[in-house]
Amino acid sequence: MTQTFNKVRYIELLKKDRGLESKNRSLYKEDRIEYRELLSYGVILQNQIFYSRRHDYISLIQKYVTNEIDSLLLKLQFFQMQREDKKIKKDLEKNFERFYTVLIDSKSGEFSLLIADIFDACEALKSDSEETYGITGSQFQAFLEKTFLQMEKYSDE
Amino acid sequence: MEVVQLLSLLINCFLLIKKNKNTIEVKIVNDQIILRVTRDDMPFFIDELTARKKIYHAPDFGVPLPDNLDLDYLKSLSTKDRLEYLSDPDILPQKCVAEYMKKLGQHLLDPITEIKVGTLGGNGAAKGWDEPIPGTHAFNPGTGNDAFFADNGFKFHTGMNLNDGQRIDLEDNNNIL
Repeated sequence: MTQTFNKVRYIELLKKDRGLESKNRSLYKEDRIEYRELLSYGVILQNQIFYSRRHDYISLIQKYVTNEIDSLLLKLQFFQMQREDKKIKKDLEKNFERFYTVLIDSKSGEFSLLIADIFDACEALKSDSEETYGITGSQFQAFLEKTFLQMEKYSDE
Repeated sequence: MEVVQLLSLLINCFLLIKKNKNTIEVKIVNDQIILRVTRDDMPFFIDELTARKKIYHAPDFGVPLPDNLDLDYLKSLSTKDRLEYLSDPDILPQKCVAEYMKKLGQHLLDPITEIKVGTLGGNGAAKGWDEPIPGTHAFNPGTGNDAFFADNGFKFHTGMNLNDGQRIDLEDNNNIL
């Protein structure tokens, strides 16, 4: 099942943002409503990129919950994947022909919520007990195990 | 000279003085680097220990992780050994961490970077984790990078590139994570 999003409007805003950028201005400064709208389309595209790579994400979390890798390695690899996905998004935003062919799966939004949860957990994981904010190793493990069970249902899609 | 021109000249002089007040100072305390970045009369501190813990975000600021940081070798180590491996200056050299710190300092001094009061961890609190911590965001809308300062808003906590969802959270709630 696919979900439609307004690609024409997205491209219009991207072009506007780039046009302003070339004049050392920005949509962020000039029109917060349109900036916010541009971000909301960006989220939809980003969610689809995460979803297209879901098997890689599920496999990585599985390695952690089965003790094949520890939290440190998980973090290094997870954040590396996030950077790669951002690059894919940037490239798509530059290539309108390819961009038009992207279909948005309706499940991409809910799957991406799990990715966001993992991001937050990785960032919140305390590396020592002296840190004032965050979650402990056991809280992290329990959370990842729970999240993995929720992710698994997307593996056969 | 017309009043408008005079005013404009005065404003430019003021901005120049203000700009000159923005500085980065480096201190070494117990072999650890500490950066003191002054931006618009506000002092921000970036310490090596915290920057080392957040080194996995360094590529977001254009600082590559060292080539000798061998991920395959890392996989073969126990958690304890792995932490020791990463704290070894031969593996993760002070130079690399210092480069990340320098970029964070430059990010703070970039005139495009906006300083705003906010929180970190608002979404975590909704999951039953710790309460969000108050602090200061230094967000650059051009690069999408954000540095968060806790402990009265002046001590470095983390610094990373935000995705669009995180940018919306920052825009709507002055919060990330």
